[in-house]
Amino acid sequence: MLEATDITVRFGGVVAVNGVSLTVGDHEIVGLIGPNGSGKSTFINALTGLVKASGTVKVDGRRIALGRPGGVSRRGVLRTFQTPQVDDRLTCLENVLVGLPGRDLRTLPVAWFRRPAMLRAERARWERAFRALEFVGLSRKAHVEGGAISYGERRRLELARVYAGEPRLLLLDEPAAGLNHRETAGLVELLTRWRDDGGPSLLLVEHKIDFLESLCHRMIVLELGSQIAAGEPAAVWAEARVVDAYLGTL
Amino acid sequence: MSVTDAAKETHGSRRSQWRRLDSLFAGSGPTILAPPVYRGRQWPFLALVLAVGCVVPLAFGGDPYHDGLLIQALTSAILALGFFWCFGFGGQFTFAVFAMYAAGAYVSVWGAAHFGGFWSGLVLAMVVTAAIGGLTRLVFVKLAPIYFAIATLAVGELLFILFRQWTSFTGGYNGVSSIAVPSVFGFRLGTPHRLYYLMLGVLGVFLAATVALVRSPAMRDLIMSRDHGPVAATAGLRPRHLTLIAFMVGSAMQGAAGSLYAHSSSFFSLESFSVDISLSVLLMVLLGGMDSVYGPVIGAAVVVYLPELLRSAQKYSDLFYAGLVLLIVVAFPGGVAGVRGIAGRWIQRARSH
Repeated sequence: MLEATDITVRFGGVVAVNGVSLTVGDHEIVGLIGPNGSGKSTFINALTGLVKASGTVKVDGRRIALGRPGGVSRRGVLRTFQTPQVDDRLTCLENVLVGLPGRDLRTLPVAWFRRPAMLRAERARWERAFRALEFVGLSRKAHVEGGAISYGERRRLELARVYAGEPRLLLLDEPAAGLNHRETAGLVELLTRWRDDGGPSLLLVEHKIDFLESLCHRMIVLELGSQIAAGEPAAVWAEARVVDAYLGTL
Repeated sequence: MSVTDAAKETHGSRRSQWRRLDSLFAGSGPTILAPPVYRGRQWPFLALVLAVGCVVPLAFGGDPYHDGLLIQALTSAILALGFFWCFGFGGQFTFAVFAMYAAGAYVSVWGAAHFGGFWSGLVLAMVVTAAIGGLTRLVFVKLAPIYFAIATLAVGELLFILFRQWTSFTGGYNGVSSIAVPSVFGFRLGTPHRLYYLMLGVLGVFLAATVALVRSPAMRDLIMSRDHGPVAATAGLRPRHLTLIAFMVGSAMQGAAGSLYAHSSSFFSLESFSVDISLSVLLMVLLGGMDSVYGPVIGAAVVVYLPELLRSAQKYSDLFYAGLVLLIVVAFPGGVAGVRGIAGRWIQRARSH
């Protein structure tokens, strides 16, 4: 599904990500962990073209140009952000509608010259976006503005947007950050339900270890921009360097 | 808990049950799901605005001077609406408004002379200004908004220099005087009155195009692209593409305003165009309000008519004018179009005390 090779990101003289490679297979859930500043988010930003990077990214064997946002999203790779990115003045439903796939019948020429067809497609879209809100448990807030809901709800709203986008691979950048215990459990339940439903492959960036263990097939550990360990969760935790990186030398 | 309380409670829960049942039947229906923007009455309101526009000349027109003001208000409204598309929808401030206005005027006069009349001139003016606007946007797409604004100022000034030097096309400061008179189906629109209705028609079409965008999925895609560009891109939108189109449409409207200005004059020269136009258009849009598609129209009317109203104050009129502008900007950040909402909140607050 996703094949990233030798991804390197430099900010001035600092090497934030240093030659990291990883693959994510179909329906696989991969965790990307590491202490603060280890380059996890930067790596995700490089994959999605938000920062300039060198290396190669292939989706389904096809090479994607780096450094240009939108390259991977058109191949079914979507992402969420560390701080949930939703528009404050659009309603929750509209925030989800933005993420629906299918660009035709929602352009300006269509709005001018093909309104009946546009409105027909619109009605179907409202339905789909509403389903996505139901999936994350936000359907009651469908017509509430994005700025008027709580932080945890914004996270779920962002998740609803990518859910509606029907991704084949989803990159989640610290999806549990800022969530309390109950909300985190709800998120795990949500992701599990989605997985069992034939959901997308996942690349999870996280701090919360229990969160990762309950979901991941494989884990990759970064420290100071480089990969220091990879493998099944239990094996990764057994490595001394990982424990050092996380807890300091004991 | 008393008996009445309990009764009230059961009554309340029954009512909520009914509501739930009600929403079970109607709730999943598409009308309930429609985002709020589709539930507004934008189309009837547009019709009302245009109807009012039709009777306005009967009240304010009559002599050449007042007819001139009416026409000026309408050209300004179209120009401001064009700027609104660039700035409000496209999210890109532009100082090149005056140059688009001038380009629209010159191209339209030339096109009308070479391709059979006013309408081809108007269309050509819109195509050319859309192309100039789009090209400017494409060339400077990587600049941060404030630097892009400066770049548009440079582009505007360059175009102005071009028009000054290229006298065979523009006549420079000597001006152009052989200008085609607009006509509709062979009906000559020679009088200011008829020109007014022509402009009102064009403004109506542009406002309808604006309302059609607002009531469409393209608008929310555009909002997301404008305010959260990178996020929109990772969600599969093409933010640059969308904002570019808004910018081009806005530029075309500015060009149309220039064309209408040209064809409603018997003579105009380079003196009609200066960067002051860009500033006063900015003032119109801010005064009118950025949150409403009628903001530019209201703002244009205010900027054109306010000096008239203040005439009796004679030498203090400038002071009043500046004071009023400050008052609107400070007390009503949503502009005149936002006054209703703010006044409503004031009244509510006064009542609750």
